[in-house]
Amino acid sequence: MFFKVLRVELNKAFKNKMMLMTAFFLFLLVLVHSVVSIYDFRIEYNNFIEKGSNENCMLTSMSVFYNWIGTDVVSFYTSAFYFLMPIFVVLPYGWSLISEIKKGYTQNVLIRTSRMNVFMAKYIACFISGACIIFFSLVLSFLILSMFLPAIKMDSIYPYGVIGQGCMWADLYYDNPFLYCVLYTLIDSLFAGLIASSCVALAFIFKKKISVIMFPFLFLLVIDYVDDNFLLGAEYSPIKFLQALPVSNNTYTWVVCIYIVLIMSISLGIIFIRGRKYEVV
Amino acid sequence: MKLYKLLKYDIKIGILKRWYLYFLVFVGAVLGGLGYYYNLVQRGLANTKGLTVINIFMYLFAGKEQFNPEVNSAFVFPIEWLLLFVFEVFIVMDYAKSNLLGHGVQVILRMHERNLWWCSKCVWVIVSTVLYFAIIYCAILLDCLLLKIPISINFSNTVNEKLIDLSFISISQIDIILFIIVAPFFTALAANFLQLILTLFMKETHAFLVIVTWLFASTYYKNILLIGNYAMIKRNKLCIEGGIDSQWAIIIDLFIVVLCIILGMFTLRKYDIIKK
Repeated sequence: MFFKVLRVELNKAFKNKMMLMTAFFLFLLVLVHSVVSIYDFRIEYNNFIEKGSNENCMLTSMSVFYNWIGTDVVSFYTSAFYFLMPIFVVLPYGWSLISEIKKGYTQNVLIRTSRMNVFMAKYIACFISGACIIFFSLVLSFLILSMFLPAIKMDSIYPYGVIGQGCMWADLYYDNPFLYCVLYTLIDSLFAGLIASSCVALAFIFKKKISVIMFPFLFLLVIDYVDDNFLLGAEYSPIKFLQALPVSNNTYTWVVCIYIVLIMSISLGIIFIRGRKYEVV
Repeated sequence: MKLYKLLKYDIKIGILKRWYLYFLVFVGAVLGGLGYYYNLVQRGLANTKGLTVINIFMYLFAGKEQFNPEVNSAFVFPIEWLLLFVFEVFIVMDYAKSNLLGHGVQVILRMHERNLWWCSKCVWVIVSTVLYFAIIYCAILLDCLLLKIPISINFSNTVNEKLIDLSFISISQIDIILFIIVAPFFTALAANFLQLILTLFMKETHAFLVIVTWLFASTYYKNILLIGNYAMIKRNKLCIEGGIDSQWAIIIDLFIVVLCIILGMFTLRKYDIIKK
């Protein structure tokens, strides 16, 4: 029965207008970023052809591993992508449970199967929808840029995006940048999924759809404020540490792991506690 | 009389019943003020001569200097400034649209006057924006009373220089008022009205997304079309060459507000309130 419910939820998650609109908006952002990066590359490349024999043009800064939307921390598009990510991941399907509770749809489903079947299917569908929208955007950016930009290995003598020795996977960035990009794509997708699925838990707390959709975004902004002003030892703000190169502080694996465990346990905890006792009428 | 009744209703439902949002703003502003003082203590600036309430306001509305993209510099957005304006836009995001889709339809049908409904919502947006900033100013003043920071129109250049990298050789009191009260208020008002008009054409969340993207773009680019620039002290002509002129900024903000009001009236005349 669980898989039947899950199939219905996944079907709804991927075949709705909001998913299409969010995908369109994100792919547009990725496309504009790619066009700007390719245009900049053409200028830099011509400069390299003209002056490359006389001066150091830092050839590796033209690499796809430095200009990919995940690593291009200098550009507006990357900053906007990560700043707005909590809204982008929630828009495709994060609103579904609160919306269905309000419309009475959930009541009809709950009398046909167990509560946990419904809520867990919803949790998984939200997770997959949020993760996929970010995963495909990042992959699309990498694929487009790979067609035009050279995949030169990074050189550790240049201070790209100030990635330091203590930073998460810093060695990997120089040794195997492709694997580094793959791992960051997976981490970003995982966080996107977790943020999106947290809306299922929030639907038990808030009564308004807008509050459920906007809470993750506003909460992450507050975390960013705290991180920016009071926590200077490491990068504690997901908006910043999800960017593949450090923004203002070093990213550490333990910070990322703590966030994953915290978001997952709080969301699932709320769903188990409130979901089990959820009254149909 | 009809407008007065409508407005009374909007203030009751749109502001008084949503008191918790404004309370959250108050708590956030008080904590933000205390956070600022904590930063001063950490840097050994808490006892600087000339430190006043204006320093806190300047910290709040400083924004960010124009970003210069270089190979090893990442873009760090001004979170205090963004948080202030994003929450402001969030507060007025859905009330008007949800009212129109809810019993606003009944109100419009019974009154036979769509313009009045729209005027009432416009006045509500203005009242809400005034209240939002009033709460923030009151909370900061409360912080100053608690922390014994002088409430004066003067300020300490040293604190500004060390904390937010901002200093003035000479600045008039009128400019200070323009920086910390007038420009942020009118910019927020323009952003709110833009969002209000956008909600007539799209979903509230999409309108919010558009406005937030616009505000975020203001922190990255220095451009007259990005209205967020008007409310950043670091983008003003008194701070940088070729910066924003506050007086022009206010005129543009007011123009946007008036344009949105007129556009809203025309849009609402043919707006399908039943179908929507």
